[in-house]
Amino acid sequence: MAQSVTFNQITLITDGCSNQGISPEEAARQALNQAITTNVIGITEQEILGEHGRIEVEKIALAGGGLYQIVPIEQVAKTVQMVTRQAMNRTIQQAVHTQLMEIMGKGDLNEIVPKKRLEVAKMVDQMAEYSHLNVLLLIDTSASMLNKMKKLEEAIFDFQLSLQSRTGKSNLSIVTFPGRNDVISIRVPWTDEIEQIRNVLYKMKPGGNTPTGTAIQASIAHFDRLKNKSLGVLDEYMV
Amino acid sequence: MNTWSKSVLFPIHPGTIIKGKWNRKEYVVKRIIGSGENGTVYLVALFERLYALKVSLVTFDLSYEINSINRLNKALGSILGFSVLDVDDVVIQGEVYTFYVMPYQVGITIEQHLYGKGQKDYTELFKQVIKLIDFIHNEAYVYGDLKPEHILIDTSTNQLSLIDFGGVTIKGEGIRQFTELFDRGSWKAGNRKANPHYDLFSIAMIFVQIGIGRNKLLKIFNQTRSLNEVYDIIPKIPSLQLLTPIFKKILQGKLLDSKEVINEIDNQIASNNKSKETTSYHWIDWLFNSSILLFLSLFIYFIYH
Repeated sequence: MAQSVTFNQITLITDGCSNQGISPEEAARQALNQAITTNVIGITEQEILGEHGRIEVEKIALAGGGLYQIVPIEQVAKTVQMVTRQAMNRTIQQAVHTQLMEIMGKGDLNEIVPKKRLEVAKMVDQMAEYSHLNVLLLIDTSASMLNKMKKLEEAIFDFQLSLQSRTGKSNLSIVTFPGRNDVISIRVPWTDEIEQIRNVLYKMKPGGNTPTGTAIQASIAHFDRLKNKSLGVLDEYMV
Repeated sequence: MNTWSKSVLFPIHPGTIIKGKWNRKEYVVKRIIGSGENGTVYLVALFERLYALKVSLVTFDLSYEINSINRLNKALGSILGFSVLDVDDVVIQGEVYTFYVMPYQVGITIEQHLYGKGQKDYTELFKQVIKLIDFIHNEAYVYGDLKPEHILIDTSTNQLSLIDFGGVTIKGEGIRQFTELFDRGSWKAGNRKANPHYDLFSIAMIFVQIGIGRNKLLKIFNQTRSLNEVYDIIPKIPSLQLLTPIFKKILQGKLLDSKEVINEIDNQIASNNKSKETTSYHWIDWLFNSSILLFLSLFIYFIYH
C-alpha cells in the first residue's frame, strides 16, 4: 500500500519578498489544488529576514499546505531534508485524519488512546519511507542571493544524499528563478538518477527581480512534464 | 502545527504538575534536564521516586521514538537499561502536549568523563561503546543520531547508556535523524542509508572530537569538510594514538562491521602490550650482559693487580 502513494512537493528556497508577478500565496493555492504541496525555506542574513519576508514565507506555506522554516544559510542543507520528510508525514497524517473522520466521526489524533496512536505513527512513518516522491527545488537566484551560491550547492548535494538513502523512489528537478528569457530556468530536468546530478549552480550569476508567484505557477506546469516523460536517462542540463 | 522549532519552551516550570489525560498519573516537575531536537526532558517525581519525562509538540516524532525504544527493548531485553514507563497527553493552557516517562539516568556524558584522561581510558571506552552499538546492529537496527551528548556513563558502575532514540532506523532505510558533525553524509563519506558503518563513522568522529576538541573539529567541518585534515591531526593527539589506525579505517570505509572493529582494538592493545614487553625484555637483557661484562672486567682487574 505504501509503495503506491505518490507525493508532489515544491520546496521554495528564497531570501526575500516577491516583487513582481502574481501573488505567491495565490500560486501556492493553485499548486495545492493540483495536489502539489509547497514548502518554503526562508534564508536570513545576520538573523534578519524582515517582518514582511517572514509573513510572506508563512503565508505561502499555509496556502500551499506545506511547512516553512526560517534559517541562516549554513542550516539550509539540513533543513531541506527535514522539511521534506516532515511535509510528507504531515500530508499522510492529514489523509489519516480524513479517514478517521469517516470512520469515527472525529479526526483529531489527540482523541485516540496513545497506544493506538503509536500504531498510526508507525504506519505513517513507513508510508513516508516507502512512498514515491516527486520534489521540485525552486531556488531564488535574484541579485541578493549572490553570496549564497556555494552554500546552496552544498545544500543540493546534501538533499541528493537524503533522497538516495530513502527506500522509496524519488524524482527530482531543480529550477531557478528568475530565468534569463523565461520566468524560470530548468537547471535539472526531472530525473530519478539523483546521484548523477552535479554542479547545478556552477557559474550561475544571480541577478534580477523576485517573481516568486509566477515562478510557482511555472513550476506547476513543469510537473506536467513528469507525467509525459518516461524517466531513466538524465537529459543534458539546459543552461 | 505549521511550524516546528529546535528547542521549544513549554509553559512547564519547577512545581508544575503534569497530569496524564488518559492514565491520570500526576508528575511533579523538579527541574529541566535538557532540550533536544524533538522535545524537552524534565526531571519529575511520582510518589517520591524520580523519573525523566519528555514532552513534545510534534506528537508524531515522539511516537516514532517511543516505537523505536519499544522495538529495541523487545529484541534486546534489559541491555539498553532504558524503557518507556508511561505514554500520555497533558493539557496545559488549552494546548495538548504528548509526553512519555522513562527511568532517570544518572550519569555524565562520555565527553565529560574522558576529560583529562589518557590513551588507556579512551581505548577502553571506545571499545565499550562499539560493543553497546553492536547489540543494536545484531537486531537489524542502526542507532543513527550518535553524538557525545547521547552517550552517558554512570561513573560509579562504569555502565554506559544511550539516550534519545529518535534516530533509530531499520537497516536499509534512510536515517531518520542525525547531527551533521557526526553524519557520514555531511562529511561526504557515503550516503545516509542505515547500515552498521553509519554508526561506526559517528562513533569514530565522536572520539576524534573528544580528543582534538570540539572547536577544532567544527572548524575543519565548516571550512573544508576534509577527512584528510582529520587524519593529519589525530596521530598528534597522545590519547588517540593507539586508535588512530582504526579511526582511519572506519572513516575511509575499510572497516564496516562492529565485530571487526572490536577485533582490531584487541589486536592493537595486544601488539601495544607486546612491544612494551619486548622493550623491557631488551632492557633486562642488556643489564644482564653488561653486569657480566662488568664482573669479568673487575675480575680481570683484580687478577692483574
